[in-house]
Amino acid sequence: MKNSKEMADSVFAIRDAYTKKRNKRKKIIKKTAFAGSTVCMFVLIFAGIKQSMPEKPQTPDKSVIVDNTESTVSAETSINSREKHTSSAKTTAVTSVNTTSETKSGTQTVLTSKAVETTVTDPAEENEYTSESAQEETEAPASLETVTEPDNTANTVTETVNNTQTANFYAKDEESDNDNFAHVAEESLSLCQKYSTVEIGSPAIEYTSSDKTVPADILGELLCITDIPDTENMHNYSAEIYLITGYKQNEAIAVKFEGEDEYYFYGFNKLKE
Amino acid sequence: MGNDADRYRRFLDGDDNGLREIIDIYYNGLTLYISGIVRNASETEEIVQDTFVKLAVKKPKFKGKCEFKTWLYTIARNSAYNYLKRHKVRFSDQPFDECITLSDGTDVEREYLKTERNIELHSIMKELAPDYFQVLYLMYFESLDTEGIANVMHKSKRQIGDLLYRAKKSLKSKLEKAGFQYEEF
Repeated sequence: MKNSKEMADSVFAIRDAYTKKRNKRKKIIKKTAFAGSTVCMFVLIFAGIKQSMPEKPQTPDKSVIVDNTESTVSAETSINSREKHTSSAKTTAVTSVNTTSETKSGTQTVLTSKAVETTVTDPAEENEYTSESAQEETEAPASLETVTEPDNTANTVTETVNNTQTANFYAKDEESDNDNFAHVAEESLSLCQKYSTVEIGSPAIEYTSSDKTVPADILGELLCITDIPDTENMHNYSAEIYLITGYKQNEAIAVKFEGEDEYYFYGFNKLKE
Repeated sequence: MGNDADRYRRFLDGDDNGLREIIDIYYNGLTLYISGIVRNASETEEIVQDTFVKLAVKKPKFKGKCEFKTWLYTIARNSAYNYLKRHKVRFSDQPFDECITLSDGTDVEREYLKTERNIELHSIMKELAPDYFQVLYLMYFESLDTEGIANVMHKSKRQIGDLLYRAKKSLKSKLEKAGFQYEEF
C-alpha cells in the first residue's frame, strides 16, 4: 500500500499527464478547426463564384451555318399589301419514301417511289427529285397513288432509304407583321421565308426557319421528302428534309426546296402535343 | 472542518499543497472505508486514488452544503460503486487483511485506528454486510452524524436509523460470537 505522500505524488503525476494530454488535444483541435474553417471558407467562396457565373449555353457549333438575315431584311421592306396572307396556308403531306436503287446488268437503274398519302397529283413533279438524286436513267411510275413493288430480281442493292416521317409546312402569317413592315411582293420572298414553320413527327416538333443555309457536306440522313401545294400559284413544291451532322433531330433540320440549291436551316421551336 | 474547505479552496486557487494536505488527512480513513465496500487492497487503493484524481483534475466545486468530510466520502463511495459497476465485482477473492499487510509494510489500520480495541472492532465490522459496515464505520470511526451518513449513503435519515439499528444488532451477535461484550464498545 502507498502512504499518503506517495498517493499525493501519484495523484499529481496523473493530473499533470492529463493536463498535458488535454493541452495537446486542444492544440490539435485548434489546428484542425483552423484548417477546417479555411477549407470550408474556400469551398463556400468557390461555390459562390460558381453560382454567380452565368451558365454556358450548350449549343452546337454553328460556325458552318451561313447567315442570310441581311438579304431577307431588304426583301421584307417591300411587302405588298395586296398579297398579304390572312391565314396560314397549311399544307399537309404525309410521305413515305421507299427508294430502292438497283442495278440490272450493270447498265440500268430502276427507282421506285411509293407515296402512301399525299395531296400532290402531278407525277412529273414527284418524280423529279428521284431523277436528280439518282443521276441515272429512271423508270418512274405513272402515278404517286400507285404502289409499285420493287423488282426482286436485281443482282446488287446499292442503296436503301426507308424513312417514314410526317411533315407539315406552314406559310408565314404576314398579317401579324403588317403593322411593322411594308408589304412585300410574294415573288420576292424565298421559300424558306414563306414557309417559315415546319412540323415533323408525332408528337410534332415545330421548327422555324432562320434564313440560314447549311453546307451540303454536313447534311445527315434524309428524313423525308414532302410536297407543299401552293394554292395561289397552282404550283407544288417538293421539299427534302435532312438531319444535320452534329445536331440531333430535336435540335435542327435542313430543308431543301425544289428548284433551290440551298439547304435551309430550321431550328427547333417547340414541341407540340 | 472549515480548514479542509479552505485547503481545497487553496488548491482551486492553484496551490497544490492544499490538496496534498487533504490527501494526507483523509487517505487512511478513506482507504479503510472503501476497503469495507470492495474488500481488495489494490482495488481500494485504485478507488481512493481515483477519488483524489477527480478532485485534482475535474476540480469540482465544494458548495458548503455539508461538511467537507461528508462531501469527500460521498465522492469516494460513488467512485467505489462506479468501479464495482464497471468491473462487475462486488467482493474480491483475496481477503483484505492479507493484502493490506503484504504491500509495503504500512499497516493502515494500526496507523489510523491507533488502539487495539478499534482494530478488533474494525476487523469484526468487516465481516458484516457492506451497508452495515459503512453505516457503523462512518458513525464510530469518522464521527459523522445521521444526516452526514445519510448524505454519503444517499439514503434518508429514517433509513439510516433503521440500518444503524440492524447493523448494531448484527455487530452485537458477531462480537458475542468472538467473545467480546458489545457494551464495551
